[in-house]
Amino acid sequence: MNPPFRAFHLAPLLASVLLPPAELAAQVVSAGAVIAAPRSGVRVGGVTERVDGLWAGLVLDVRVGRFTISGTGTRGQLTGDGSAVPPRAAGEMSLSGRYEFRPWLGFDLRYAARAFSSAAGFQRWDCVGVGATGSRDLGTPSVRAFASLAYMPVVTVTGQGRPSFAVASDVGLSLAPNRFPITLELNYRIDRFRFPGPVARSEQFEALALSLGVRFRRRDGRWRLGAGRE
Amino acid sequence: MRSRAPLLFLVLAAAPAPAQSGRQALTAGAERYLLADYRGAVPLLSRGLDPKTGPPDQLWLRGVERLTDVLLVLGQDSLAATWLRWAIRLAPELDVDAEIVPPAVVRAAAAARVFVASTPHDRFVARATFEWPPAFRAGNVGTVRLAPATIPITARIGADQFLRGGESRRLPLGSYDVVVSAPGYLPTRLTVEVLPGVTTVVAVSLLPETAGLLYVTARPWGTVFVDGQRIAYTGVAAHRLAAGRHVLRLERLSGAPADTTIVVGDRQQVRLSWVMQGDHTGDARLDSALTALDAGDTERGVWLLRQLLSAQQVLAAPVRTTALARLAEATWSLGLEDSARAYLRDLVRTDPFFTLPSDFYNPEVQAAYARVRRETPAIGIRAPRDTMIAASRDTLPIEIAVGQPGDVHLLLRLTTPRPRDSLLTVLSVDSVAIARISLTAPDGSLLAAGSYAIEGEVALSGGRGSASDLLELTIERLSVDTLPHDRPIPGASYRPETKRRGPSLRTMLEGIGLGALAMIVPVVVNDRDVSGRSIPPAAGVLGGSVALATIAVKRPSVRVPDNIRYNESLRARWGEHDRSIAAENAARLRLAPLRVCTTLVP
Repeated sequence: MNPPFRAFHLAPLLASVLLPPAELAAQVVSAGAVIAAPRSGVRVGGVTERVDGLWAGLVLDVRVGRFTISGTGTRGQLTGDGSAVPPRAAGEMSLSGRYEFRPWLGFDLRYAARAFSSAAGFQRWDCVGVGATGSRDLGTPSVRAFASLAYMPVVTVTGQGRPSFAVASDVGLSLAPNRFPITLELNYRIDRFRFPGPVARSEQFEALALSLGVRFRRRDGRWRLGAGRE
Repeated sequence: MRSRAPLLFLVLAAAPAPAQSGRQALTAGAERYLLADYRGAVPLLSRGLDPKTGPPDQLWLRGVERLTDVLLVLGQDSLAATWLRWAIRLAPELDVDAEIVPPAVVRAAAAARVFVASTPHDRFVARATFEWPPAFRAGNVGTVRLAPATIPITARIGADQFLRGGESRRLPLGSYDVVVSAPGYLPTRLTVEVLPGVTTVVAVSLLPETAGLLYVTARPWGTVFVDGQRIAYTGVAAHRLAAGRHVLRLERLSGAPADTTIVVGDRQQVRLSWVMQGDHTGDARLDSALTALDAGDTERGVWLLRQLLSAQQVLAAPVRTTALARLAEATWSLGLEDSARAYLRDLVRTDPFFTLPSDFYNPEVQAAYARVRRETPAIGIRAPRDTMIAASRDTLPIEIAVGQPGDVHLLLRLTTPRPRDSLLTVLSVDSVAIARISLTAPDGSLLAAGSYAIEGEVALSGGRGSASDLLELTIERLSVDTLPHDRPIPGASYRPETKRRGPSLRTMLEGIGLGALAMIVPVVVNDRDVSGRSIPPAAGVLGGSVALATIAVKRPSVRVPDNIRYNESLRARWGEHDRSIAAENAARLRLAPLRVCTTLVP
């Protein structure tokens, strides 16, 4: 099986791993679809190659008290500007956990596996990052803006060395109306890498994503569509 | 001289008055008693009690009480007891007034009554008369004389004193058993009291050994006379009659007396019955016993009733009460008064509501029952077995009957929210009373349907314990039509109470600031050389979205007074109508009839 597809197919497994916590009381589970416009760029020795495309996937969030565990699986096709850059299949699976010290500040731990496959070969990225997320409601708790910064101390890329510098940012806007059991989120993510070596090499992966999900709340021991505040 | 007149009067008044009549002596003794001149009161009161001066009346009774009190005060308790026994033997209905006399006198009277009850005698065979001295003086002896008879009679007094007819003997004060006998005659036994200075004359008319036995039963009761002499109320049982012809009369309260002549043979048992209609209870064993009693076969009837009551089988309350009442009457007629009182006590405990029918039970049994009833701790409560009441205006009548009078507490046993007793009422009950109980909870609300219990408890005077009875209560609320409540006002009927104002400058600045901040983060992280842009378009989209969302969401809202008033009036109208429905329903529920069923807990 094609490695990117194998990574992508791990998403159901990931979801099943997340289900046991869903049996706990006082929690919210939201599941939804995500569509994203990713863009990847590589600059080696002054030459830049960029690809972009459209991704689709699934997202699952489990919130238990102050803890939130999220899993995302997406896949899609990236194509370059000209015929010199072969189209590639890409997929990403990420798993992140967050603990909210305050309602507006949380600590993040994130793991992401990203794979590209094309006629030129296969490449896999494994990234582990730690960071912080700040958020603020925009006049109503249903609408929140957030921004996070993360440092990725562990990044492995098949076929090349480890980057000397890797950071990630994520900003977005989420909407979770009280009256309806849906969630809507728009976020923009940038992962930036710089590799050491005689030839300067930098890579950046960015994605503007829109996700739409449904919330389930467990109340009185029963799961039901979860409108209302948490 | 004038100043010495009162002194002379007092001296004359204080002097002994041997020439006074009995009633005058009692009055004078009472004055000495009230002046606490106890030593002076004793001879006057003693003299005043001479039975020959008149029948025992209230003044005589007060004299007995005062003499007893004085002797107890002076430390002569055995003499006081002797006087009391003598007085009770003379006037069996004597009853000291516990509200007036000291408790020591009450106790002494009770002990004397028990003693007298345990030493009965046949008043048709032997009787005692008394010769009072002209004046009472301090002394420790009295005299017993055996009246002469036509046959050679001998009396044994106590253990070692013997008298022949016409002889006298001076004896220390106290009570003595006297057995009088003669060859060929039935001996008789009686107990006499030897009083200071008083001569007690024992006169006997012994019956020959061949005397027969007379049994008379009558319902309604009557008074039996034999040869013109009053014998007793019916039933008469085992009354000895000399063999021969006798004229017997039965007098009733109403109707002509019934006369009959009987001929009694040697040792013959004669049974006469004037029972108009016998009792039939439906219990074969009880009916058999009652038939024997009505036929004058008293001993057999008593035996059958005792067998019935001692059986292991639990008897129904009406059967048991009838059996006890008839057994008490029969044993009373046999002279077994102590046993009769025990059966009457059992009767009171079994059913405090029971009353002896006045036409079937003679006055002696009625009086004994009344006395026993007031001495027996017992309580019974009852209510209609199945009744319908409107709790808001009606009350549940609870009938209460007590034996010994006392304060009755009626308690309602509740189980919710926790098991407890709620006091309903307290009332002083002398014999029978009715308490009207409102079926409402302590907080005033109507009692919910369910099972309850009402406990009646009588606290006996002087803290001498208590008795209780339990009545189970089942309350069922009957259905009643109530008005349905209006549906809540739909949300669409309300007008919006606020409206959004245009964004303020501050909100716009805040939105722009937050949007810029949301844009700066990706701009800072962005590698311009790789992405080819200094500011990624997506960052602009995000920043703009945050700014627009902030400005759109954070618009201040202002109240719309007209709409608020409109909504308030809408809610008020609905609330008022809803309250009126609730009030109407509450009124209907209060008037809803309750079905109350009661069961006596055995």
